[in-house]
Amino acid sequence: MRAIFTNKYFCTVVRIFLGAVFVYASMDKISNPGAFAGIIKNYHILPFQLVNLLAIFLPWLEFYTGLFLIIQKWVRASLLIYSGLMVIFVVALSQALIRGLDISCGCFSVQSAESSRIWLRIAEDILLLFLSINLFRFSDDLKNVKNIIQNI
Amino acid sequence: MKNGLWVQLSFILFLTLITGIIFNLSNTNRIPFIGEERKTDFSSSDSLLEVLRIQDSLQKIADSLSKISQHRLDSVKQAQETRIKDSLEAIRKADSVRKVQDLLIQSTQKPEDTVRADNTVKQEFVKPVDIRLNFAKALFDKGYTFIDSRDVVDYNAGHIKGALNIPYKEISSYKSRLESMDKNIVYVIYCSKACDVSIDMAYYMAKMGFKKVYIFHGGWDEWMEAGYPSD
Repeated sequence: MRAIFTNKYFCTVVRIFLGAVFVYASMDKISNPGAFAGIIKNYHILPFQLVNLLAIFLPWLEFYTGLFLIIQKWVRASLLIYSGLMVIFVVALSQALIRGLDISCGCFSVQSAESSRIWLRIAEDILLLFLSINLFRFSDDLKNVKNIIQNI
Repeated sequence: MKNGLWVQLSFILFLTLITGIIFNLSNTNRIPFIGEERKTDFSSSDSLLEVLRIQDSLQKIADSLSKISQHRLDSVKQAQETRIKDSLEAIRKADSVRKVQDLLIQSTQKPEDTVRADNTVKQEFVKPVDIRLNFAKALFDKGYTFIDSRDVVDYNAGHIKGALNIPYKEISSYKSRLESMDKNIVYVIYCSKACDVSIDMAYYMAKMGFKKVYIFHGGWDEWMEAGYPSD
């Protein structure tokens, strides 16, 4: 694993891929905050007061995280946010699957016709989480990261 | 370096916050920062059910009264027929006079008035009504249209007897079908118990101009548990 994730070419490809996914995913949500708020509401995990706030800010957080990964700026901070968001997405989708909610994922589009195969989305998110965590773990500043974690 | 990471994180979050606020304020599709709660209000459901029951009993009374008065009507009928003939003749004359008057009014009406009249005919939004199982069953017995807003797969697995399937997730491809439907009759929208597509669908239809849309919140699950007719 270390050999793969310390290969700079592989890391570059993965970093740009992760960034592109987030930038692409944010586009439709940024232009249609109302529809995205409806999707978030259907998950039934947030109080109604927070739904619109999340619908307004989450797409921008995705956009900037993705953008910074692509342009290789503040990569580790972006990867940290990326991994955190992926954990949240996996938890949200899993609870929807367990509760049998008939909802649109809202992962890449706010269109109601988007695939509702939640388990497939969970698998995608787990793969992205795996990549982002490993990219973070095996980044050049590994020693510094360990120091940070020890100091927290 | 430790501080560097936190500064970077804070900066990204700050950037997100600022951009989000500015973009939302300048966006034509903006939404309020604090969302509004969509409350489920069943208060109308019970009263409407009561109205339906009263309507039924009144109908029965009217039926029995009409039977009693039937024989009386027969005798009155003959007298009425002659009177009607005389009245019809008078109405015909009056109609021809009114037609001439209407034509005169139309010819003198300004074009601006016609435009203004058209503008007043706007689509009125009538809020969908939340209903319970008992009222849904009463509407079913009356023969009103039920719309299943779930996916085709769920619909095919089982649905309320005679219900139409218009999946909300594919609503764009069903828009023309909805447009062709009568907007003044009762529609009962449902999905499963743990879903919101029936609510989304009902509000979508109400925005299209449908005036009598009911949301059956219990959905297919409650209907099935009650053992009511299904396909």
